[in-house]
Amino acid sequence: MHFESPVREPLVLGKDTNYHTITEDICIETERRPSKYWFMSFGLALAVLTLLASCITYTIMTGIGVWNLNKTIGWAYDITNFVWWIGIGHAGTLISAILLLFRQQWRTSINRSAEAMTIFAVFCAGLFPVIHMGRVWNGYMNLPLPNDFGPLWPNFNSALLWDVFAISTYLSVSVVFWYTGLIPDLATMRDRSKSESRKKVLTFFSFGWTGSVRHWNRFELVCLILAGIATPLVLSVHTIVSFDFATSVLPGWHTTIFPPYFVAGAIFSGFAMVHTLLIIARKVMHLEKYITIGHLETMSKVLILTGGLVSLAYGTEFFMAWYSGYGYEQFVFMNRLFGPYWFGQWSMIAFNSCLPQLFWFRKIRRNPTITFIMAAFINVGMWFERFVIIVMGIHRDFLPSSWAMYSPTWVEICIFIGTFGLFFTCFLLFCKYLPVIAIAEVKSIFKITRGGKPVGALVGADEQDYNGDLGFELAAKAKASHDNHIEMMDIGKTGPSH
Amino acid sequence: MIKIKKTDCIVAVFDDDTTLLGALTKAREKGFSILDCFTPFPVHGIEKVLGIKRSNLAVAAFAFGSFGFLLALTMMTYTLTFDWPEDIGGKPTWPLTSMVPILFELTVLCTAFGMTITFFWTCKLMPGVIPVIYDKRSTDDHFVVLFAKDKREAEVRETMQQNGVKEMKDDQYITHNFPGPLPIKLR
Repeated sequence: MHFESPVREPLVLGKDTNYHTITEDICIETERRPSKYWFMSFGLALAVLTLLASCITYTIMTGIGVWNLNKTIGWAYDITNFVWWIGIGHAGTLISAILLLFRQQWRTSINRSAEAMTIFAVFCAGLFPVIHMGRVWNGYMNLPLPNDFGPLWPNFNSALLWDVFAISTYLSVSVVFWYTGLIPDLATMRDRSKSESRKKVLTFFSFGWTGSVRHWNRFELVCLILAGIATPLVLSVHTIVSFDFATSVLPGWHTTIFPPYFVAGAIFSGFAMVHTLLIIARKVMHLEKYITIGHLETMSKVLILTGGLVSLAYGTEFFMAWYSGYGYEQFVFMNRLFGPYWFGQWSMIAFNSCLPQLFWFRKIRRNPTITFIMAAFINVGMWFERFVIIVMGIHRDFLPSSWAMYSPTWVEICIFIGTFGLFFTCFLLFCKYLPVIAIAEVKSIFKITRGGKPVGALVGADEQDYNGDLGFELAAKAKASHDNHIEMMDIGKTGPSH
Repeated sequence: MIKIKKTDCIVAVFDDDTTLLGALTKAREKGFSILDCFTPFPVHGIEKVLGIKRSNLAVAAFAFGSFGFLLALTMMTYTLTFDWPEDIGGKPTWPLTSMVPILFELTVLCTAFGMTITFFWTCKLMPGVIPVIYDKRSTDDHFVVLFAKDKREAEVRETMQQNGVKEMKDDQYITHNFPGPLPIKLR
């Protein structure tokens, strides 16, 4: 029997919440007409998406000469954006897979939207290497297909090809994981729907799910195994992205620390993005009962942890450069601190290492406005981290005569801004047409997080109660109500066991 | 030959999972024939009460994973070692270590897809399947148990009444004998 301390914050708030109100609160947004704010934001997102489409068309029609790449700096803005977006696409699978294996129940109300965010971020990321090829129509040559230019196969020794496999696998497995989890909730929406056409569409997409116990039993096993394989997968993706750099022999790139460093950075930026989006989503969609201040606080804690890991990696890189006694490596790192791109290095230190330290304060962790601003800055800092690694790793190489500087052209900037259009178009559609919170999963933890109480006899847990310091008074109240409840009920039947 | 089977049944509707578990335990003790049970979320402990065995999907997952691994290994070995071997600085033409990332990715890819498709197949789910719903609320906040309507009908009803059933009604339990999903209207 699973038991949770009554002093612990409940994961679902609200005195009158029960299974039906959970369904109601989450489905209602998908059933009513979109608000004018939704239309306005969607319109804006579509406009930015159009910008992306036109700039990509312009790039492909003209060639990547419209970018500011040069002979020294062959990878710059686009690869920075690629790594940045891929990093953002890490939190979703981390939340749904790793936290599932660790039985972290707070994941249930954020995993759906975080996974959706992952998928859309990977769309954005995938764009960059494709357009960077220049001749996009030759993209299929990445695949080991029989072809008509002799038996020419892709080079399986290349980290770039590993990346193709890693990212496409990650995208497909994330979609499978996300969609499998969506099916029961689509069935819930189907059985609520009033119009025939809506019902037909939802019947099709919910695959005929009925909620039979046998199906649930297999469903849970499928989710567990998917989580089990998605965990090494999510770690492998950014590891392989780091191989793109680490398998080269350039000072500053040729580092064994890169795989864990990149993975920690990815989780860091992914959580920052989840933070940013959910703080808005919970307000706009009135989901404060499900995505509580407690959830935001927990995510802030993850941010301190991963921010700490990233800072450790920064420190280790500098230490190893000094300790190696290798002049070129030392030069790269001095150039990072005091070279022409000093602002990149210093903003990454400021935003990724120093800023998250504020999360040690409980008041800050529980303040949505401050955490929102901090998470946005972390995202900026993480963008600079990739810029520092990529551009600063190559702009001053072994031969001073080939040193160069790089700044993006308007086309590159517009493509980057445009990816936000793609991201938000997808995200807004998701928010409007699909349940943003995993309804069935929240229901399955609902009683447990409230001390196993039956619906209707719950701790008086409003957000206000938990917003300030968790006083002794409240703890005592919770405990009293819990003891009372245990007397009232047969313990063996207080709730679902875990 | 696909056959559609209809069994008369009693649909017992509960509004709480704790009550449901209690009632099911009683029903199992008395040996009633439970046809199926529908819940809006996975109720933990119910598989023990109903005696549902752990699924063998893990075996399918392993098999598909091995297939993916072998597929990648065969393909890379064929292209790099046999079909077009290249001498790159005297490095081996069967570079097992640099195959690791792709071996891993293909294993994961095939496991995920293979297992999920097997899951849908064995649960008889696919786009186009029209489900038989005994109570619409069973995907919202109610819990539905189907009992076979046999000689012990009265006893079933009485036991359920004593164990907090919300309502009971008569219906037909409809199944088909095809091993996979069928996109046909059963009712």
